This record gives sequence, C-alpha cells and structure tokens, in this order.
Amino acid sequence: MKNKKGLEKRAVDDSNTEKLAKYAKAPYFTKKDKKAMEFLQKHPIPAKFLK
Amino acid sequence: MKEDKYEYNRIPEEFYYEFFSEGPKGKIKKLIRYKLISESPDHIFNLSFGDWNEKTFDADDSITTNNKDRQKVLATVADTVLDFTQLHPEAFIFAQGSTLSRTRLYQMGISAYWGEIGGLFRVIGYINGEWKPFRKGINYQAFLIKRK
Repeated sequence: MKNKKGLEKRAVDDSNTEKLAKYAKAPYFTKKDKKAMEFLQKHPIPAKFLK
Repeated sequence: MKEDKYEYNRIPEEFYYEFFSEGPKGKIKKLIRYKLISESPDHIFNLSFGDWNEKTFDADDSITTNNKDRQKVLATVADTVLDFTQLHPEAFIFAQGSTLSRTRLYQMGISAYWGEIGGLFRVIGYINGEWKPFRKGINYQAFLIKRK
C-alpha cells in the first residue's frame, strides 16, 4: 500500500484566542463558505450518498 | 518509509489547523479550516485551505507557492482530514478549490493516498452534473468525504 504510514496523526492543540479571532475575520473563509453553500444548493447531494 | 508531512497545530474550538511549508521560498504559513455549512439532514463541513498572509490578515488559495513541497503539503492536508474525522466521525467534508486547477490538487491528494483513503472513507465527486463515487484519473469539480 502506498505510504501506509502516511496518514498518521500529528496534531498539537493550540488554543490561542488572539490567533483565533484573527483567523475568524479573514474574508477568504467567508467567501469560500458562501461559494460552497451555493454549490451545494445548486448541486444537491443525492440522499443515497448521505446515508 | 520516510514520513513526509508537516507537524501542525490544531485550534480545536473552531477547527483550524496550521502548519508551515518550508522550502526555497522560505517558511510559509498554511491554514486549513473546517466549517459547518449544513446541519440538516447531515453535518457538512467545508474544507478551506490556503496560505496565510500576516500583512493582509487573510488567507489565499490562489497563490502558487513553488516551495517544492507540494506532496508534503497535500499529505499534511490529508492528515488533517484524518484527524478531524476522528474527532467528528459523522461529518461529511466538502472540498472544492477556488479554481479547477486547485480542485485538481485535492484530487491529486486523494489519488495519492487512495490505498489508505479508500479503505477509511467514502468519497464522491461532482462531475458533468452528477455526484458519483470517486475514481482515480477523473477531474471532478468538487468532493464529499465521509468516514465509513
């Protein structure tokens, strides 16, 4: 199997409220979320894939 | 096998992940965020991924970084999907690049780890007006991923 070890978890929690506030204001994320919601409204996922 | 991905920080309150790409262009902060965009009938989270710019206080996925570490970056993004869905096994993850070429990068990431991803996740892609089960070698417009 290709890169069997490749997807091992390597996260470190970093609850930095200042950083979080900064990221939360980034217009990029708002724009991306809006685009995603519009896409899913226009192209709904069939129920058979949502089970 | 040599590990080939970056360590990342996780901001658990809002599902942000951050890491630094390192290469000839220097150290570049990458940011990934999973945002709940639909709660009914299922929880769908939007995956956003881009370079963080400290001057504009914004992220951007239209930049071609050329930091010679694309595979490592893709592996790191894939790793965050694994981490996030371990915490939220019920979550569906929607992924779409800002352009078709960016979406193709996601596809390359899925394809590169399909041996592992295919066993752990259900992946469907949107193409030609339809959602279909993921197959390697097809250029989808968007993806939806869920743990089996």
